[in-house]
Amino acid sequence: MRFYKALILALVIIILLSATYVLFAPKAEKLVIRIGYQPSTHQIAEFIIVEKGWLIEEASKLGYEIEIEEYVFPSGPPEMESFMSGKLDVAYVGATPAIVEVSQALGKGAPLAKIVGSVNLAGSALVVRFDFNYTNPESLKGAKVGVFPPGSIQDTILKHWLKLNNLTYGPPESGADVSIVKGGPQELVEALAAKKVDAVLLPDPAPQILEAKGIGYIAVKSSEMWLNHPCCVLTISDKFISEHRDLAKLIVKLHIKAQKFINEHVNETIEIATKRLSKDWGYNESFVRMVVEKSLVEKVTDLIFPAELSQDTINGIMSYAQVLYELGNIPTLPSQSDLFDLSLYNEALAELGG
Amino acid sequence: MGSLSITSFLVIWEGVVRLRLLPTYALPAPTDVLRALYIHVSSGVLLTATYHSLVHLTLGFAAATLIAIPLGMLSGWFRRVELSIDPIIELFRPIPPIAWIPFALLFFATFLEASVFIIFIGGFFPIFTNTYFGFKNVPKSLVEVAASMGARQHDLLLKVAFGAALPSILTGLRVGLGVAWMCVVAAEMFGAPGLGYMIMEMRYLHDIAAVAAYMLVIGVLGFAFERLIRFAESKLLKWRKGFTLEV
Repeated sequence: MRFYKALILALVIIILLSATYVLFAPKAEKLVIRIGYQPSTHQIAEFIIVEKGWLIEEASKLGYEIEIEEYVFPSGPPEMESFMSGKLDVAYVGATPAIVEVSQALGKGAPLAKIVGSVNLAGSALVVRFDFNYTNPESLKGAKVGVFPPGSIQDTILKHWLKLNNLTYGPPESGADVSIVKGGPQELVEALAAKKVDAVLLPDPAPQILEAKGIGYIAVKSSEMWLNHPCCVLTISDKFISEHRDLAKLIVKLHIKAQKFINEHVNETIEIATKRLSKDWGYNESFVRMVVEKSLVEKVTDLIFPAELSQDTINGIMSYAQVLYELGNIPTLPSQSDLFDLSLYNEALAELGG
Repeated sequence: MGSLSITSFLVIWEGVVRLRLLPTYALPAPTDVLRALYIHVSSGVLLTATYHSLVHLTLGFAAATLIAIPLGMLSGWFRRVELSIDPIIELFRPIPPIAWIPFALLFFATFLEASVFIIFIGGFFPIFTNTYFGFKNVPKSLVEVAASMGARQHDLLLKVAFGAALPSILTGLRVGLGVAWMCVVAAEMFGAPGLGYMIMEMRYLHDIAAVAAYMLVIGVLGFAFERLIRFAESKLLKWRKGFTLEV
């Protein structure tokens, strides 16, 4: 009888202790992080961070239970439209759409896309139809060129390059030397195949897809239009940074780690990119693997993945701001502190031992 | 009274934006819209865009009018014509004009042709339908009296029935013009130069004040077209004075 009483008492104590733990133990804070990206080999770092589970794993060590929501966009301008309306916390995006977003959002209460990392340099190309005789920029007179919407990297570089070569540009049938047709990557690939345009300026893997499908050939690399130009950047909303600085810093650290991973583990990177891009583009994996290899291994568009946000890149991005202002795409010139959160970046780098 | 209500509306709108009661990055103040309007007018961009839109409208609406009125006349007057084309008209009429955009972009070689086609589709059905009903509802007594006085078939059609159907035809033109104008903007959003094109350009640059400025221009022009048709009605339908409250 005594034994049974002791047993019941022990069971009650265990139940009470368990209930106390369940009710009062510190719980992981559940947080949804909304990440925007584009279906490009430029943004492989995003694929790596998510596919390898790094963000969820490392965030749990900080006491966060993370849920990631990814949103794919055809190009930077619509991505930044979503960012500006508060639908994204993190965006892998071209530097110029981020500049446009910040310029328009400043002082209006919208989240600002703060640049906290460099994603890639170069990596786009002007692909021309085989039956179009491209010899030099002048030979584009009368041509229709497809490109991402205004404010995108490719649109900015194309217009700057055309201006430098004394060529006017405008919408189709407007009388300009070069007609510019806007669209997303798949749309413009189809437009070139259907001969609705004569050339397209697109980021990887679109140029490689067009060459592989026998639709066109790379006539000019973007790095020839603008030497070693910065391209995509990692941006985090200033609101997210102020509310979850530790998480924002973690994202920057993981991004730097992912950039290094791309350069050190090429084969695994190719597999991760293939899996993601075949889903986003709707092509079979063997075809996508081939074009990803052309992008990452053969580097036909001079695509570079810098691990760090160098001063050269920062200067390059500030040059973009100047060009955007001259093109009339932004109303005022933003300052470096408007565009970047270098304190967050430097803290992350220091914690990584950089 | 009207200008007082508009002024009050503008003052309230300006106040709501300046006091940040609504997100300012999504809703520009009236003064921001006017500033954007000034910038785009002085650079010449707005006038160029307006010119292109008016060209698209003129070509598309003219084509719609030239085809819809004769077809509506013949359908409303001759039973055999009505029976032949009615199924085709009723099949295509419910399809919104903007649904034709993918087809137009693929089928036509130029953005101009594609835009004009979309505008044609937009204007065609209201003009056709109103013309058809105008002729269908010509009072029998008018036709019988004219016939008894020796009027031949073409006189009955062009002089008697056309006059009787004119109010309905003009209503069709007014509605058709409004729909065609909406289609101008939609068609241009996909690449042809014009006001619709500029709205998309400004959208991608997140310049919401400029978007609102172009919307304002579209609204003002649409209002002007509507007044133009009303003026034409007042001149062509003078005989209706005393028959109805309008004109």
